Amino acid sequence: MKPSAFLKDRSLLLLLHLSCMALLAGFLHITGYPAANILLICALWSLILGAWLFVTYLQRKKYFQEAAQILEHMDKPYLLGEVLPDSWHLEDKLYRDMLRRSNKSVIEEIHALEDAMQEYREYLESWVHEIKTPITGISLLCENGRKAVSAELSDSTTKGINRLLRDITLENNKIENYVDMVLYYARSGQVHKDYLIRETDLQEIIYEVLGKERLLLIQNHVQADVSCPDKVFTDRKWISFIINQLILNSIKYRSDAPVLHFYTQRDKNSVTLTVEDNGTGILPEEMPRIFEKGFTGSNGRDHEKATGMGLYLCRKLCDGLGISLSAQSEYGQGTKMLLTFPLSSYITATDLD
Amino acid sequence: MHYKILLIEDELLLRKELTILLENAMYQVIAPESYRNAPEMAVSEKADLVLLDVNLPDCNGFDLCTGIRSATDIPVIFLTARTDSMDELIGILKGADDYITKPYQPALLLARIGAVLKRTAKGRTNWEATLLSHKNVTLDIAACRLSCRERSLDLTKTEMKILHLLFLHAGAFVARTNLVEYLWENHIFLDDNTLSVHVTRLREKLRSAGLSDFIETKRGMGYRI
Repeated sequence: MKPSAFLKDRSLLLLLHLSCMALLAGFLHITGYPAANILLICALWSLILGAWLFVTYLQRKKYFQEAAQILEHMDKPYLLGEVLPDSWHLEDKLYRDMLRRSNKSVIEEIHALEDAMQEYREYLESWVHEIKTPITGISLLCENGRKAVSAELSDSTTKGINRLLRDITLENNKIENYVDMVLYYARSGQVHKDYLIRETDLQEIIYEVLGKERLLLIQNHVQADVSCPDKVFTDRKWISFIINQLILNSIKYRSDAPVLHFYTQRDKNSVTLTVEDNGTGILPEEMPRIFEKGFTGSNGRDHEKATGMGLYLCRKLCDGLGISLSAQSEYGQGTKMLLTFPLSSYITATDLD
Repeated sequence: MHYKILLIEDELLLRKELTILLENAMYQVIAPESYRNAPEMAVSEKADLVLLDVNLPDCNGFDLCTGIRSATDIPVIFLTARTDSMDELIGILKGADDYITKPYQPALLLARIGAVLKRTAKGRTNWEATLLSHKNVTLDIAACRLSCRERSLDLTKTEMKILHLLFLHAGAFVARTNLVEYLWENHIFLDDNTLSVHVTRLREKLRSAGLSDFIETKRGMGYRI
């Protein structure tokens, strides 16, 4: 609040005083009052007025500075109406009251939105859980069907049926993966509410994921080797989802003879899991953006199936779990995805003993 | 001696297909339609393992688990579509031995069941044969060795698994894709071409032991012993 602005705001009051002063001076002059006395009266009047304005200015300035400071430090600025400093001015009170009422409606709207979102997320989750039952049903039907027909392989129709069932299983696995992505996306905002950190055998997790995707991997002539003796502390289902996404990426951008390597390396305070492929790799200029939402890059555009969600989700989930996720790649040679799991110093100490 | 599994699942299709899957894997399955008295049934049927769905209409799998636990200490595996950590934690606290989320991979499900049974079966003899014979040739799975008359051959893990599947289907052709899938299920992740390399090497080994043409190849069909 500048003094000039304050004076401008009080210009009507100043004008009133000046005209009153002029009228009084004129009246006194007509009645034959000495000019020197009139001047003295006017000077005194101005002094009192000036002092009054000065004090008012300081008070208002202090009031608004205080309010501005409160606003700046507030966690939720829309609650300002509740915490404004006290004031005896009528206008302040009226404004404050209006501010409160307006904020209340904003808060109500926010709550309504939060509720709607919560409801939406809950429905989404329950839907995902429901859809999983038929997905499981299809997968079991295919598996049992293949077992039932594979006994007599000589028949060419049997082979046809086998291929058909395998293709259905493959498509079913894709559905499963997309459904999982929805679920994890819905939950990614609140990772902290939904994890169960346990000592986790990465080797076992990778075996499970490779087993789950084996039809797709075999179809693409993938070879893999796993050497992950180091244990980490993390949530099993989140980490298997992340590793699954990384494997699917490697398959999407594969070379003619794809090979996957999984290995862990233990440092003083961390364990790093590397998922290495010999696929197309990532262009250096696109490297900084691969974890962005919706980024598909030139690789992704060549492969029409890229959604730009996979790595974005991985990064988001990793952030929530305290895992650092980074990528190294040489274009045309392959890609390494590095997952670094922290180890607490306590664990390191006991392990060293 | 076959293990007996009590399957509690409300979904008709899943119950039927799971029963087939488990029976194919040489388990004896009891899949009752009503499951209210599951704890008593587990005891009276002398089940070796209970597969328990969490989301049952009109009653809760967790409560059934509590009931089973208070009656007997047979292993329980939860099957569930819910993936909350909270549910998983409750499952563990209720005394479940494992917790498998839908959609489960059939191979994975069988592996988990096998692992739990192996861990919990006390004093039971392993009914799975470790010695397989065909045409005077014996495969010793535990020792990873093939023997024919007085001669014996040491096998690599991959070669042993290849022979294992062929022995299990002795006399019939085993398709290459089935062989690759079997290897993947056993944590050997190789592709079709590498399989050919391994089979060629295995043949060479067999020939040196005087067993040429033990493995028969038919184009487009696969292998047979």
